[in-house]
Amino acid sequence: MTQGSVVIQLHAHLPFVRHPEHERFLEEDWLYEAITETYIPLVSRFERLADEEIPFRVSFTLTPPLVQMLRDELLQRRYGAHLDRLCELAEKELHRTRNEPRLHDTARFYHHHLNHTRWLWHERYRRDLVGAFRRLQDRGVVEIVTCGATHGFLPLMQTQPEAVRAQVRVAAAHYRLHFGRDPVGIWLPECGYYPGVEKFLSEEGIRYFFVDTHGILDATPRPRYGVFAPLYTPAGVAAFGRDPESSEQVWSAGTGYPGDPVYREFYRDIGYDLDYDYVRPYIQATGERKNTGFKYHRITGKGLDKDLYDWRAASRQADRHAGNFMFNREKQIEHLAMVMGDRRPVVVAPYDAELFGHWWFEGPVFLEMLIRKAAHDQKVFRLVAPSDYLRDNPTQQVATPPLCSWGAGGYAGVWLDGSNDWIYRHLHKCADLMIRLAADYQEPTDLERRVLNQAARELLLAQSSDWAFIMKTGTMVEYAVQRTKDHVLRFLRLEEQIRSGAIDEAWLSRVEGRDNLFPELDYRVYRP
Amino acid sequence: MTIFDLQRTREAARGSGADAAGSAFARELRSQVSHVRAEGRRRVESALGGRATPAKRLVRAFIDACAWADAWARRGLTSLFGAKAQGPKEEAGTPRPADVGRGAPAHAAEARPEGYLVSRVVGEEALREAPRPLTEDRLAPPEPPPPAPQPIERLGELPWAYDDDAFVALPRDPMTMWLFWDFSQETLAKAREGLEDPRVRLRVWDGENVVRELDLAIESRSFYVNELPSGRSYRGELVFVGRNGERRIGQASNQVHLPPVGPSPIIDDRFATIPWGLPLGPNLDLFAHGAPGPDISNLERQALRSASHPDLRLGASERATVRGGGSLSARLLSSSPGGPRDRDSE
Repeated sequence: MTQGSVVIQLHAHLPFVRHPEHERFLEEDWLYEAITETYIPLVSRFERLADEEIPFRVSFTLTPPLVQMLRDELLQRRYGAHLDRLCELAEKELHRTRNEPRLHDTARFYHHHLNHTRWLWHERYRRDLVGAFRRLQDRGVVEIVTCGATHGFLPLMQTQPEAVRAQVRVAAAHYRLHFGRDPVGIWLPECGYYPGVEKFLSEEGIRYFFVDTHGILDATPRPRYGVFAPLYTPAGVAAFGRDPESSEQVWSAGTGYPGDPVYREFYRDIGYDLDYDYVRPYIQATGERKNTGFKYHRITGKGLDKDLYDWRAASRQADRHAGNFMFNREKQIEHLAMVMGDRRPVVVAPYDAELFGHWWFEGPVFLEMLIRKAAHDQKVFRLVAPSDYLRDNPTQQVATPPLCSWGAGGYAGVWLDGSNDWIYRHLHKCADLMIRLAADYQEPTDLERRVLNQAARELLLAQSSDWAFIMKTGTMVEYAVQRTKDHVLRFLRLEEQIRSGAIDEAWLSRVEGRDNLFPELDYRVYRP
Repeated sequence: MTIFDLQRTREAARGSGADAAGSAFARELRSQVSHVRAEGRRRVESALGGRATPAKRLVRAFIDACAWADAWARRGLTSLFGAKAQGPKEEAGTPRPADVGRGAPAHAAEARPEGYLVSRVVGEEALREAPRPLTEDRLAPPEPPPPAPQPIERLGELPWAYDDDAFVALPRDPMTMWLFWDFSQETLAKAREGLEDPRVRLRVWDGENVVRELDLAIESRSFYVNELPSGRSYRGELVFVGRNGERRIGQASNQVHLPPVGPSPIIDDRFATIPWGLPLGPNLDLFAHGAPGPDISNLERQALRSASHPDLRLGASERATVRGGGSLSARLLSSSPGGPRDRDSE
């Protein structure tokens, strides 16, 4: 009998980026790089662990836009081409580094890694990673939780409940379509909670969500067990709180594992370091340099002078860090179990999935080793999914968390400040118009129905929290601004066309072909 | 179509594990070379006739050399003679650094040959007929035709205003409410009518009490009201105030609740039991159904709160992961060390 539980929750999300009008588009690389560096390494490791019958459970968010992109044939084909280019570059790197043994060793490592990734992508997973995750869920090792339909930040939509309901309901329907069951959990976009949102979750049969630490600690009434037990909101949906201690060990720049000098340095990439003509075929189509994923240096220290990367040493360090993480969880849970008496504590450690592999290159090794060690080297805790904990511990305290998020400051400040507040006037107006459209068009013609459904898609896309986030952080702002404008303007044109009866079917078809997520969407989700 | 593609195909087709692959692939290569050489000679015979001439011998020798040089360069002498390739020795117990398995080369291939000698001499078609033919089409889905050029989508610019008399309040943080408004000229004129030297004032209401009142420019169209007491509900109201009276502009805003900060002063331990299989009913209110839990001392409660590190403001928002940076470049992160920033470093 263990003394407590640990939930590893990985949140995988990317905004919907798909540009069929361009053969190569920079922002689509977000998806390709995440597939290569995070999704395939994680899913293949989870599979291997399951094949070896190592007992573990991991909670994993696959947001609807990410699922949609992973299942999109155009993006699948383009990723295949992207991977081919990487493999080609890996070949060239073998030749280039042939006289420098340390570099050559790393080049061989990349060559091996990329070729194996290509085999996994084409042959093992048949270009369907969503199916691979679904199989893992069906095997009982992964619990896939859903998210807002387009990762809209719900606390800033609360004045329009229909818009909030649409984000939740469309996501739940999408989940059922792709995973063949009801979602039991949801990752509220940006952990954005406000009192009352749980009733929309309850309507879809969702049983739990996650909040940041203060979402539990500042709940009303005061929680008894800190963040080490979930709370039932008044509607019965459970809120799990993030444990800051386990988060800090991974997230913190100062003391977190990923900052270890042995690990791979993210910022040194041959896309910037090498001769322009050599890397020209592998950078942006416009000729601007970009990261290629081939990095030969380790973090080393704070200075700019970087030593060469040694993947064996880095792997050993990831192994050690996994052991350290496990040891700390053991001690933490032993202490908590002593204080909590007859209740068993749960430690929730949520991370962005892309941290593992993309940012922290050795992260997937860390996770695999952690799972192995947790299964074999200790008896203090179990790795569980939130549903396991609730199934075993159905009695919980009732309280209401405050509005909160996991953004800087803990509330809505990231998504609402001087850099991005201009979008809310438009989002509010569009949602208002959409709600009216849904109410006014009770029996639309087929063409009108297409317009209404596409209008709903455009609104959902405009609501993605990623655009406001990017505007706030100041990188790729132009793209985020343009995406927001495009979706709002398409929505307004659709609304104007259907109201005036002058529908441009050719243009509608083009828009449907471009913003093609949620083909199953029914605009009536916006009815009160 | 390249030799590189051929190699990729071979690697995918092999799939028998890294250990056996070295010798198997060497056999395959010898077979390949043999085939290419035979094909090359056949073409030489065809071009130069049956008589042995110095030129013909020279061409044959060149073809042989090309075939072996290509194989040699790609696999190395060791592989050709069936020995398992050796990478740098791995220490016992070393965790697997990355994927190890099918599809990956038995060892990383050596330097890529300059050019594609075999295919240049005898043509790619010969390679297609080889014992391990080129089958890269099988791996990749068929290429769709390039997209037809689409007409430029002239969407125009966003409207400056909608003139729909919207007046909306949103919560930003425990002490800040944000208001935006979009009053029509008619609404403004109606509110201003008859007032002498009117100015615009914003009033913030907490229930029946005005907690903040200040002048602002109606053209600003939005305003952050800072330093409000947390944990309270507020609504905004805009009025024209003249020397001879005042009048409200449109409707008041919606009411918004700012979150409380810190531990709740309310201690009311109600517990509810919800069996996992039991569906949650509509309009459920567990506060009405919860039962008190077992006693817990303030000391224990405080100990668990402290263990929750309420002082740690570590922002997971520094999910400065894939989305944030240009092409995943981590401009959001400090350059070194390599981990994401914590929230306090903002």
